[in-house]
Amino acid sequence: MLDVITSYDFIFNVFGGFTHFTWQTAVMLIIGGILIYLGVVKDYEPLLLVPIGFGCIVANLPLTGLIHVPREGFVFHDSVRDILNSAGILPLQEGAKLVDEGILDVLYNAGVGNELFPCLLFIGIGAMTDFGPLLQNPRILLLGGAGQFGIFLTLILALLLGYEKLEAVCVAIIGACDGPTSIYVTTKFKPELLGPISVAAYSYMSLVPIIQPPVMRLVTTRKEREMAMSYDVLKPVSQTTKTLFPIVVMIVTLLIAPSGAPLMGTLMLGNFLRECQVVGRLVKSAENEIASITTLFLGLTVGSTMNGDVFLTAKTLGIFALGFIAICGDTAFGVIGAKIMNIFSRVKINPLIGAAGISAFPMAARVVHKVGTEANPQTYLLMHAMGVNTGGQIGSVLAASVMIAVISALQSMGVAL
Amino acid sequence: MTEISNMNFGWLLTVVAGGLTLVSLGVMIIVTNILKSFQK
Repeated sequence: MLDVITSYDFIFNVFGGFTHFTWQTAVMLIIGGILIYLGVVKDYEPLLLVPIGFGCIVANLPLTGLIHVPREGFVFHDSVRDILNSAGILPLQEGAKLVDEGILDVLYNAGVGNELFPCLLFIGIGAMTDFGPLLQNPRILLLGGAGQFGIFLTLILALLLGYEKLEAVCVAIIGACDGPTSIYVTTKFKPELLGPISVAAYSYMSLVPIIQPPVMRLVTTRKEREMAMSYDVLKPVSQTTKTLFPIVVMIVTLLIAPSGAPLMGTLMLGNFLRECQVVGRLVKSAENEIASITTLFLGLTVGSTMNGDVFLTAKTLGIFALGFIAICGDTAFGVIGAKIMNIFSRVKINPLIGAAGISAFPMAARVVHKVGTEANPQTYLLMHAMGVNTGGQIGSVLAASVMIAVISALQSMGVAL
Repeated sequence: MTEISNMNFGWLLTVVAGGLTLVSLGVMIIVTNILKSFQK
């Protein structure tokens, strides 16, 4: 008896939490703590950063066994497979580790691995979004497209830096400045990068008020920033137009990029529920209960995928650097897009509103309004910027949908990616 | 399996996906303006 309890193996296993504690564990606990600090104290995207930070801490504590996916090499206990394995009929893959499914494995497989949670979140986002300001001046939709070109700039940079093709796509999609879209695309193509990419996406979204203004000032002159915009061009839109808009957008988008159906379909479903005005209970549920539950589960699960072995690499640093470039690029391209639009248009617009084309709703619109007011206190850009911002939401989902469609087409043609 | 170099993949995706995104938005603007014309 004494021999057993004083043996090295016994002590090693009984005090496993301490004996398996590595420097990676310590660093990940600190990172999780920083995310919680940013959410709680600094109020940066707390709804996401708090569960992500908590998930990071709890899943990195040694031997908790809460989550094993999306890392490869794990096989879950399953009564039928265990019997077949014991009988030698269906042997496990060589090197695979047989483990019990953790509760976060269940959540991961239920909603992240199959891309369900981001789509549920999109129903809520659609239900919360008013496309009215956009419909009053539809041409600003183009700025929602221009604000996505940081994605493509980052894609090229990531490929030049030696990232694999699909890795580069996942890193570039941080430029969509849209958390659910980034999570959706990463889960689809490179689930092992889910942790760093989603943390980068949400961190930079929360830092939009700090990142955007210097870029906006860099690509505009003071005279351009001072430009006042008339509200006469914004004509009221009928409820019928607002109700039909999500259906039209969905049909147009999915005819061009059918593989984007989960993203665009759910976003427009949420908006249609809102605008048809007869399903108030469903809208309320989508905005509150569904969005809240999904946010909690998504944040917790994504945070728990931030395993030290995967997260603490040079690649993660590269992802953060490229994500920063993506958001700066989006801002610059949005403003330049507005300038180009001014060349061809009789009614001029303040180029600053192009910066709201990056999605990140409604923070980007508020930042545009603030920078505009600083340049000229008489100008009031908020409603114009809100329109561009909702256009950016459509643009980001659209750009992701089209990228998925092109990649799917290449894969179905047998192109090695 | 057909091989495609990393940079060719990047430019292909940029041109095709970027172009299709703008074309889709253009179609949306036209359709939205048609929708709005009915409300007058």
